[in-house]
Amino acid sequence: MDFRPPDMNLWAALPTAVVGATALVTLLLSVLRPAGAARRSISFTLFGLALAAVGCLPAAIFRPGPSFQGMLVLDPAAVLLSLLLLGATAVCVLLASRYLVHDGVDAAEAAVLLTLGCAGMLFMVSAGNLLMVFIGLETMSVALYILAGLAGARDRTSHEAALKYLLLGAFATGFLVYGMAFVYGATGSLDLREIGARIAGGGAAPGFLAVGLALLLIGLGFKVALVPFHMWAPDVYEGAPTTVAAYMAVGVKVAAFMALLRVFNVAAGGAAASWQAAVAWLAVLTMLVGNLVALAQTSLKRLLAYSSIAHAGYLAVGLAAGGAAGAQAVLFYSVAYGFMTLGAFVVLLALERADDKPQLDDLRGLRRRHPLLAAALATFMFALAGIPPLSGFLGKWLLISAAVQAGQVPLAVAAVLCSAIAAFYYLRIVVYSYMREPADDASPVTLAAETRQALAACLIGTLLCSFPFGLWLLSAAGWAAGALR
Amino acid sequence: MTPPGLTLALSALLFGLGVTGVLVRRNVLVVYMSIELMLNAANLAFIAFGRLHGGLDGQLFVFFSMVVAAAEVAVGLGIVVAVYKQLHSVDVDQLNLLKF
Repeated sequence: MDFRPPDMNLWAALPTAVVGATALVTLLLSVLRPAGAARRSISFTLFGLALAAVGCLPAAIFRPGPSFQGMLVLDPAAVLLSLLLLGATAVCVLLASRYLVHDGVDAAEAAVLLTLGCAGMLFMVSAGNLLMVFIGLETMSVALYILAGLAGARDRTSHEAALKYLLLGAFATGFLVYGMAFVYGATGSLDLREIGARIAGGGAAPGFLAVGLALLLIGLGFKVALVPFHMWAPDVYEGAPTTVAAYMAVGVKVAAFMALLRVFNVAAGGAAASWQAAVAWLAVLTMLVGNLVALAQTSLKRLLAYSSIAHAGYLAVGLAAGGAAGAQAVLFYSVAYGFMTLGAFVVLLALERADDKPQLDDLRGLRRRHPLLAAALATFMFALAGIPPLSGFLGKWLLISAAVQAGQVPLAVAAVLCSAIAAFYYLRIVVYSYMREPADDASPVTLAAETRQALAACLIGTLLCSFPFGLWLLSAAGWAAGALR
Repeated sequence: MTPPGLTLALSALLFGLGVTGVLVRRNVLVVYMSIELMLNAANLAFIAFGRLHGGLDGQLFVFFSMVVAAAEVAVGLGIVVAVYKQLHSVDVDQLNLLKF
């Protein structure tokens, strides 16, 4: 009997290991030395996240591709999204150090939970095995269940949001695991490449496979809030602290879409006939419902929640289109979406007052009250609406052309029509902040240093994804999509 | 030896019971129990398929799934206790602060 030593390519595990170690050390230090723990844990966490971002590079250079028996795949797509997720986590940690602490939350606790959630997300984007998808998803989700309820001492809705997220999240996990069981039953393997090979070789039981993929789609659809599995999203986003809502809107969605991409486009690409139509219908429904309901919202947080649902629909267009073009579109759009949505949430945080969720009316005359903030908000809204030459336009163009290339013209038409609806509510926000007079009792807006840094990071990110710099990202995403397997 | 088909049928039954429980029952703890039933149905399916294929992957997955479910319960019960302290109830219908 021949013995093969296990494939321990530790470089591939480096980013996640650094992130996990950062969380644990922060936790220990804050318990052992409580004096000055708040500031220290924030700066230590930011340092750890930066270190992990650098740690992505050796694996990408020296030993790309699958390692640990195919469990972990640190390919270019995983590196790209890992960098985005690390950046988003860093921004959220910065914001938490200001806003969550204001809500009476321990800074070290928030930093540890955000970092642990990030470790789960990194596992998800580089998962090569259904088991890793599951563990990554749960690591991320359990951290987020706690985060959603963190502000419960001050805000009653926070606990309620946490419980809703927990119950529906766990319900979705049930579907996900049952789906994984059926995919395993159909193909006899949990390894994504092996599953792909068995499907291509005709060795998969089609009935079990179809059931498994449908259940997986429901489970992951809950996490990314595809209609009709979106009911939790607006409530949870509104009840959770805004910092955490931003983290959910960006981190969870990006990580779960990468998992969807790996499971459906890459592994189950050979069985596209069994899932493509379902994903296309979900995409159309999601774009339609997300955008139409967003039109009626006056609470800015709810509006952003529905906007993020609508964006899940756009991303699903890329998923349904399939192929390298679809994967490229999903990768590019994930990065672009991450920066612009995070930026919109940062503006929301800057406008938030104690015990008051910002409404559309609170934006009146923002141009006079804080010109820079108004300009940043306008940039994010134009980007989300997909106005050229900003990042959202490039992303939507990629998604729609991928759908057309795949012969899914009705899907492309639906995406165009829905982005036209979306332009209305995004531009209304700009109109309120630029063309309405401020209310008499409108308080001046002041930005904390952390908010300014976070805003600058999101703004730079959005501009780097926009024309002309975005073309680099576009070709990088294309290269990463080509290397997906 | 129970044939895998029978085990699979039992797991489908349990899963259906779990889903029904989540949708029908209003007590948070019972809803949570139903979710656990769904997860255990999946574990059973993994074992049945594992026997069918003769590999260890399915049984391996079950171990991870049990650990994750335990972690989820630990956090979940904490949240339920926090909500109970505020509302003095664990009825899903009492969670009505957040609405469309």
